[in-house]
Parts: sequence; C-alpha cells; structure tokens
Amino acid sequence: MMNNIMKKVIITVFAAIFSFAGFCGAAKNEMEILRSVYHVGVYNTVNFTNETKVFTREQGGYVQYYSDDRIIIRLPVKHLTSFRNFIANKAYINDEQQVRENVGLKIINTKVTLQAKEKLLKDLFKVMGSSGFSHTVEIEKEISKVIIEIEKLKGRLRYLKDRMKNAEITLYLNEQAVQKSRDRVFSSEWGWIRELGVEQLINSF
Amino acid sequence: MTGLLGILFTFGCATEYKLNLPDSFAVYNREKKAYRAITAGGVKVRSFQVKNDPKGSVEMWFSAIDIHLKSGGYQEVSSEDFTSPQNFDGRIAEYRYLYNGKDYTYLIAILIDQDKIYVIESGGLQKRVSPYKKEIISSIKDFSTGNTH
Repeated sequence: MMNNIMKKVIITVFAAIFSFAGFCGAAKNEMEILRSVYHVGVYNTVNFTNETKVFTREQGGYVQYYSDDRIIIRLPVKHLTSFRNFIANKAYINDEQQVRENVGLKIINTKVTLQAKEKLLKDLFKVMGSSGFSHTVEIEKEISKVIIEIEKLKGRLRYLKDRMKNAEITLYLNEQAVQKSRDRVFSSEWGWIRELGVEQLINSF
Repeated sequence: MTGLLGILFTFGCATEYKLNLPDSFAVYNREKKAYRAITAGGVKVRSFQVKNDPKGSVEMWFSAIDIHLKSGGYQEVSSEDFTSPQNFDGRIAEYRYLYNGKDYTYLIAILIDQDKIYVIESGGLQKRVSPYKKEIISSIKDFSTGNTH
C-alpha cells in the first residue's frame, strides 16, 4: 500500500508540471468558451422563436431551451457572425454582451488527472491480483471510487470540448421594446419624407 | 396590362404619369394631387412629385428615406438602382413592416429629373402584394412622364 501512496505522490507532482506546460500551450491555442447574451426587441415572439429555431438548425446548432421571453442556443463558433446578422435583421438589438473564458488550464488539468487516475486504476487491478483475500474488499472499494472519478473526468472533458466547439447564446425577448423603438421615430427634415410609409399610404386612400 | 395612366396637375399644367399597372388595379381618376391606384385586395400604389430642393442625388434622397423608414421599424429586404426610359436616375427598395400584427410589404421608389423628384410607393399585406410585386416593380422601372398644357 505504501508503494501506491508513493506512486500517487509522484503522479501528482508530474501532473502539476504538465499542468503548467499545458497552460502555456493552451494560451497559444486559445481554448475558449464563448457566451453571448442579447436583449432584443421583436415584433412577434412566436414567429421570431420559430425563425431562430430554423436558422440555428441550418447552421448546425440547436435550441437548448426556449420560453416566451428567452431562448438559449448552442451554435458552432464559426457561425456566430452570421447569427448576429440574422438577429440584427429580424429584431432590434437593445443590448449585447460577449464573454470569453479561457478553459485551456481546466482542460489540461482534467486530462492529466484523468491519465493519473487511469494509471492508478491499472495499478489497483495489479495489486488486487497479487493481494490476499483480506485486502481484496478494500481494493475493490478503491477501484469503484477511481472508476467513478474517471467517468466524471471524461464527462467533464466532453463537456468542455463541446462548450469550446459550440458557443452559448442567450436571447432575452421583449415585444414591448419594439414599440418603444418605434416611438422614437427619427423625424426627417423633409415633410414629404415624413409622409412616406405603410400607415400613411393606407390612410391616404 | 392596360397601361393605366395617372394624371397629376401642377403649376397650371398637367403631368401625365405613365405607370403600366396590371388590370387588377383601379385608378382614382379624379385625383388631382397624386396618382393613386388600388386592387381588390387592398394593394395600393401612390405616386407624387416634389421639388428637388435642395438639389440632391438619388443616393442622398434615398438615404434620407431609408433613415426615416428604418427608424420607424422598417426592415430593408432589397434595393436596386435603375434608369428609366426617359433617363431618370432611380432607385427602388422593398421593405418589410409589421403593422397591426401583420406582415406588410412596402415598395418605395424615387426618380430624379433635374428639379423634380418622382416618388412612387406601393404597399399592402405581404400575401396580397406578392402576386403583383414583379409587375409593380416592372411598371415603376418603366415609369415615364409627359407634360400637357
């Protein structure tokens, strides 16, 4: 058992070294998670939500959640610009925020810890094979614990990689915001231009 | 196409508007200040002229219109420059607009003849305008005038 403890210590030291090296590499690779939040005024929430669903699907993304006043989308990072253009064309963007989080260190740490745990699992199996009956139960408990930890780490890696590949976009929808925007109609210098438009056209007949 | 003509009287002489709209349009003949036509489905066409004062180009005047419309919630769908048969420089644009919870199509065109700006607009429910859109755009591009005393 002492051998195992020594191995754990050595592995942890190596993990720390690799983490630092990984951090430097990560900075170069720009391992980032992108999050965008938009507050938009829309003409019709239902129509906008449907159009957004279709557009997102066409771009290889998916709608994670939607309600009357909110849509959460996961979209490949490469399509962020076209998505912003889509929103600008379909709605009024009242406010927008972009958040970038560098997850390079998190990924490297997770990978190194995962490798260490996998090594530990192999060693535990070896120890179990050569141990007596009295230690077997104890080692089995340890193996179960390590397997759970490995699965958690794999899940976390998958999660981080998916978050890097697909940006998260949250849209807060507000129908009233459109009305407010309309109330702020720019007043043209020329009277005849102020008389143009659907409402004026309809009322002139 | 019946070649419906609009007559606009200004400054003692009449300006004849040649706008070849489809038969589905009925023209208001008694109209003195502007040319107006309408379909059974409520698609409307209106044309009038204003002085090109201060003297500006199509680009300048259309920008002024575009700013005004977009500030009112209009969404531009397309725009196109053209030259009329009488060599008037013109531009036509299509906008989408939500009015009373329904989608409307709004077409606006201007043509400049030195001191005059001819303004032609058409609009209606999107589904009503769609069948006539091509013909309306085509008639606007072929727009011409003639003065009679």
